[in-house]
Amino acid sequence: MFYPQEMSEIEIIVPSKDLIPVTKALSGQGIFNQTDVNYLGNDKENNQPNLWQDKASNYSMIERRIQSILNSLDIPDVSPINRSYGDLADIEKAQLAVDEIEQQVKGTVEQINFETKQIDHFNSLLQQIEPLSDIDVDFSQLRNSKYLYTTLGMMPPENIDRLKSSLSRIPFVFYKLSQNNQKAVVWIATSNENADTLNRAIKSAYFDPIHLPEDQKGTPLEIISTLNTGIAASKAKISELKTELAKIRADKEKQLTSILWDVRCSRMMASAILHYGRLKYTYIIVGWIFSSRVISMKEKLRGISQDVIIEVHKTERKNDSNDVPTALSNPRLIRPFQMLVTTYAEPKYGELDPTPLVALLFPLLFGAMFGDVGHGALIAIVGALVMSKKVKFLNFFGSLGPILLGCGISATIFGFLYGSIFGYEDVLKPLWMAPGANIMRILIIAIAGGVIVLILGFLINIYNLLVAKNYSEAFFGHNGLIGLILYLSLIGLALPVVGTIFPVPSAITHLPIPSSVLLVTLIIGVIGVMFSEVFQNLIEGHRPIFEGSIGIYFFQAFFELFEVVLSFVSNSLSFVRVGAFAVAHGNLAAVFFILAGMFGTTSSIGYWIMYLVGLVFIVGFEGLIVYIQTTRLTYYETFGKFFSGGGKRFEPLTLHPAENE
Amino acid sequence: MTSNATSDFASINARVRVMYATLLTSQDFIMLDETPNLEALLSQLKHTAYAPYLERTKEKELTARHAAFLMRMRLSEAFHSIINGSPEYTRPLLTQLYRYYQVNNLKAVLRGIVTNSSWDRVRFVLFPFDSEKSIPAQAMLETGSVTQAIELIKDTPFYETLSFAMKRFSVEQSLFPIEVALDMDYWRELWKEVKALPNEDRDFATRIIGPLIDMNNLMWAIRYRTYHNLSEEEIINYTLSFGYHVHDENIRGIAAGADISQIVKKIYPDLTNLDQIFLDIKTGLPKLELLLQKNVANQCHSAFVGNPFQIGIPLAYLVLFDLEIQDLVVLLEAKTNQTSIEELKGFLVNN
Repeated sequence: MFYPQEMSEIEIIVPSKDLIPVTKALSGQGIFNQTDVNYLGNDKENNQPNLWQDKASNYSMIERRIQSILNSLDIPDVSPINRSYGDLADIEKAQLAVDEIEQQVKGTVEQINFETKQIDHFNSLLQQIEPLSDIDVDFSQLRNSKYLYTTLGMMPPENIDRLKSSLSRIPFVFYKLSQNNQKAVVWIATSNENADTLNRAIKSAYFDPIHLPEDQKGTPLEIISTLNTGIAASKAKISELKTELAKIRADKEKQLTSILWDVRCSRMMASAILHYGRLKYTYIIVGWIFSSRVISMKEKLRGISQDVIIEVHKTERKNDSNDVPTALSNPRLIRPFQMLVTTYAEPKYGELDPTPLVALLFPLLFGAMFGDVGHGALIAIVGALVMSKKVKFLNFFGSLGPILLGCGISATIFGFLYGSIFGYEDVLKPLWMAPGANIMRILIIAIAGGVIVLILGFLINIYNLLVAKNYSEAFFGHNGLIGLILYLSLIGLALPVVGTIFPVPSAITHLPIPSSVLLVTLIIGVIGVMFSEVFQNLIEGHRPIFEGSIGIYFFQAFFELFEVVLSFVSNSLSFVRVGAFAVAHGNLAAVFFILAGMFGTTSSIGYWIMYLVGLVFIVGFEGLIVYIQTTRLTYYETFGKFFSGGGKRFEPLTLHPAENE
Repeated sequence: MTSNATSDFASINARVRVMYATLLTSQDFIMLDETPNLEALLSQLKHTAYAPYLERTKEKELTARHAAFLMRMRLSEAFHSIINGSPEYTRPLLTQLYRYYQVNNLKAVLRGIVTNSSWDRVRFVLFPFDSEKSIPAQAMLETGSVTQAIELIKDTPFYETLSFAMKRFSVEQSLFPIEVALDMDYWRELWKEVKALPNEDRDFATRIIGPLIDMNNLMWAIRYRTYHNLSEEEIINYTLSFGYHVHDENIRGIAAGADISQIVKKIYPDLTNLDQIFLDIKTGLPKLELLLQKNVANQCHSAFVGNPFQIGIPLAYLVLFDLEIQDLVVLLEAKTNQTSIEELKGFLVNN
């Protein structure tokens, strides 16, 4: 639970004859993460062409062709989820079947496309000519002008100014007839002797000339009428052709989806095999498998093939085990919180999985900030409904259901502790204290809680580094032992001062440690942090111990210390928001009670409408803000101390399209 | 500097400064330059911040091209980290800057189609994007046709940009109009995003993006005239009308046939060796480009001095990072081809 699943690297040598059943067995249980080793065996002695490459691209090509046909026939691309898959599909057979259907569909689709393009063309001409409809000029006559060279066309609007500017050497007339976001319709004229210059310029400005067909003569109004007749004829033709397509669809739908399924399964299989190493008569499969499943997998593979050779290497959790995929393994109850961890980063194989800590900390922080029996219960109910997937409009919460449920329950518990229900602070007796009446106390408790969380972060980081044998960072990193000593010394020395300003119990402010001891540890911490790089270089044997001159080093070390202390203070004070939000929650509810009171007494409907608006605002908006703050505290203040991430997600081999979906 | 700017940029400034400190130093570059071959270079790189990326692939698989691809992953992650950590109102600009690599990917795929290249050859030339943000490069390449490939990006803004260029492509069968249209659109949008920033940030962003636009626009104009022999009208239409120190009158001057060296000297009075470069303009152009890149790099470094709470800092870091990777790619290629150190230095921004 505290580490990702233990992984073993497995290498399998399998004879060509057993390739497919072995591949299927590996993909069967979602426990094998394939490694691409297709470079193995690609040497001079084994320079035979890789047939799987051709197979994979052939299947892929057929799949795309089928999809294109399905698209033309308006058939949805849905795989028959419960269908099993047999051997590889026969490429030639599939190709023949697809050729035949494609032949039938292609002619009709091409005609539809032609007519559609014709309509688009007419529409495009209409759009261009419409701005000219008021001009009673025969365009064909204008085109045949003796001294004037004119051109009508479209161009990107953003190129217009540049085009005009590039024509500054010649006389010209430029009219923008219409413009939308993507194109402008323009008419340009110059004298015949400057036609070449104009053409060169307009071409480089991406001007697309409109060539009105020879038969489009007359005034713009006459041309518009002709084009509309053409559009109506094309639409009628398309309607006829679509009826033909519907017939083909009725005949071929089953056959097409069936071939698509076979081809898709085969393509996935061929793509997987493509990543195997290839020798003359055998294939080498390399990948990662859960260590707990190695024996069962070995048995299964040996049951399939007598000649299979299997070698397994158990993998240590080391600092540099970045290549090992990470499969988090947590109990069902806390598994939903994995999402919060992986959103931040995928843990490395050798790193502690922070999910259990998040599962505890996240609802705790949320509940402390949003403590209210009623509001918490509402969030818990929403979470439960999201999990049930029965309410469609809540589907946008995705996999957040269990997290909402956890946060809601925690907020409900804190509601009892704070004595708050639906914003009413005087109905329930607080089991602990009402934040609004104990502001300083709750703020100080929040910071104290933060200090505990940060110390925990330090400890986890030190543990992680020690396990990874990164001793220099464990002892002298800013988030390592020396950082912890400095942090604790600072807190120990600051507590008596805090006690004189704020109402903190003297048992806390006066620790049973003499201040002289704390001063010594503080000096150790300061020296350790300032010279952390030197100590680290000493431990790791790196030379030179000092980079650059000593003077510059001291200067940098001072600012480094300053930055570290500042970050300790800001990280700790960051948790004050937990207390602040607990106070703000009650106050926000009180504001809505006042607003509701402005609409009438509790017996009036206006009061309750306003109350409901407040309820929605608090649960929706404040709930969201608290969620964001909780995420921030978890990610930045807590994870920042010990969790580096950067691992590779475990991606099991899948050969079944339905599983892929 | 307002308190808003301080809170907006406090965290990203700290993050970028840490990242800035991980850029390779000139000392690092000397060590990399001096490596005898590709293997030694890769092994030296494994002592830098690129190590975790280069270690993602087994040593024997690590070709120069593959290594460049892995190193670009670091840049890609830096973009993600900076965009996510930057104030909301600066993200459109940073995202547009990031789009540069999408434009380049698209150009690389189209070139791959025209030259009939295999996917294996093209894939490591591409910038590593998330699947969400990337174009369907493999599917595009496999169509074997530029027109069909463009149809596959129908739902992206590129499609609209290319609507006019594709008409020219179908007539001329040359990628030139497509590439120019993509470039022009990219830089116009980038400038638009700079101009959309609030006053102070706009000034800071202009100091970083401006020299980049100037460099590109100037190099385009000179190349169109000297290499492509384009007419005045074409040069004007294929260049941008805006810039930081390079103004429209400069571009028009080059287009109209004025003395290029005089124009460049007027724009960049501080650049040295220009006379030597312009002795033979065709061989001198790469040197001029390198000088301009160094000028961009200097501008970027100077962004780290003074007001720390501004958009110039993340922008400058990303540009510097890109220049660093550009240098490393040159080094990788040089070591593969056994180019001498002296010859190599003429191509490195960080030398």
